[in-house]
Amino acid sequence: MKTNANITKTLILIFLGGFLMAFAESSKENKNKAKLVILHERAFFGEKVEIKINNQKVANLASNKYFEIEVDVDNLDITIYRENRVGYKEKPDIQANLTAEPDKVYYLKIYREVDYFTNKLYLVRISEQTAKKAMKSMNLEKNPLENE
Amino acid sequence: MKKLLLITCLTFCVQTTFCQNLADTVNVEYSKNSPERLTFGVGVPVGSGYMWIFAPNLNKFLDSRNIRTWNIVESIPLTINYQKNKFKISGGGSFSFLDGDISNDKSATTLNAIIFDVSSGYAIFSERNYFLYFNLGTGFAQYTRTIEIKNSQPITLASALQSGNGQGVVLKNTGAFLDFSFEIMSRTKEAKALGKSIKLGYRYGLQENAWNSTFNNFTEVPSDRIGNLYFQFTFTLPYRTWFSFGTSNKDKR
Repeated sequence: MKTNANITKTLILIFLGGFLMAFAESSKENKNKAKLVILHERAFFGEKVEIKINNQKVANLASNKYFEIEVDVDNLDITIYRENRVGYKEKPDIQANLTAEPDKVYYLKIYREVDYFTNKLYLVRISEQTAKKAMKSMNLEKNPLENE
Repeated sequence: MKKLLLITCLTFCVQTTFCQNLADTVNVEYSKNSPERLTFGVGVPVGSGYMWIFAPNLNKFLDSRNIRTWNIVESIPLTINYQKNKFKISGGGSFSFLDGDISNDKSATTLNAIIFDVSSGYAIFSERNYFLYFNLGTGFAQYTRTIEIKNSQPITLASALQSGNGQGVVLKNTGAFLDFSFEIMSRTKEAKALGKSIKLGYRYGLQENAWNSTFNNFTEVPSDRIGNLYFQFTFTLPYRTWFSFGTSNKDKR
């Protein structure tokens, strides 16, 4: 009888230990994540852009849309390609670097500057306040990878 | 030599995609309004302006007499634009010369137009680089149709030609119009920067006017309420020095 009680106690302890370990692992995973919110400013005849992070495609983003993505805490290489008539350009329009820190949210904005002879894309980091104001008139892209 | 080297280096820098660091936040907000700005809009002689002129009664009259007509003419637009906040006032003209010509073995015709107008616009949409204006205006147009009959035709016009100066019949239609247009105009970063404007609009004749001839009075020629669908492209050249009101317009958008 006493043996059975001991077995039950042991099982409960094992279960609790496993649960705590899983929880600790999960919070450790979250601690190693940061969040990026990338906004693509509205533009006349604004083309879509393809966004890659550390050489992995994460989104096709149309003008006047934004999307959110969780990324590993890392040194992030962000490259952005503009769409042309036959697809996306081979040479990136933007190459940028961001050192993401845990639990931080980074707001990045893609915008276009058109002069008479040039038409250039820019990527900048903006403040949360500015981003939230801009996001009010933009649409969230929920499936950025399906938006071919 | 040093300047040349500097320019070469700068050109190279502009063309190269360099890796930027996104460590700090920056402010890239812009005002949706335009600073006070005066610009000249200038078209080039070829490809800057096109007008499709609707004169249905005259065309029908000429068609019935086997005289072919072509109603699209090329024009040179010239404008002066004053912008402030979301509003714009423009004045100017559009001129075509010896255009709309078409001929066959029996006849040759040309069509020309001279337009003067003033309009005011409101930016219904704006983004970092462009304004989209809706313009309403009014003006005055003179359309000239020249008809030359190559062989004698059994029509009154042909007889008039034979008895007239022998160069052709010149018919003029002059009248006022209302102008509705949409215009996309550059929002240049600096007041001195060269911009562009693309305009698509319609000029609606206010009344039906007679086609008059300088030399003859053709009673059988019908009158027309002329419509004019047009497209124009102009370079906008800023006129900042005299109009800055003591403030520098540099970097204003």
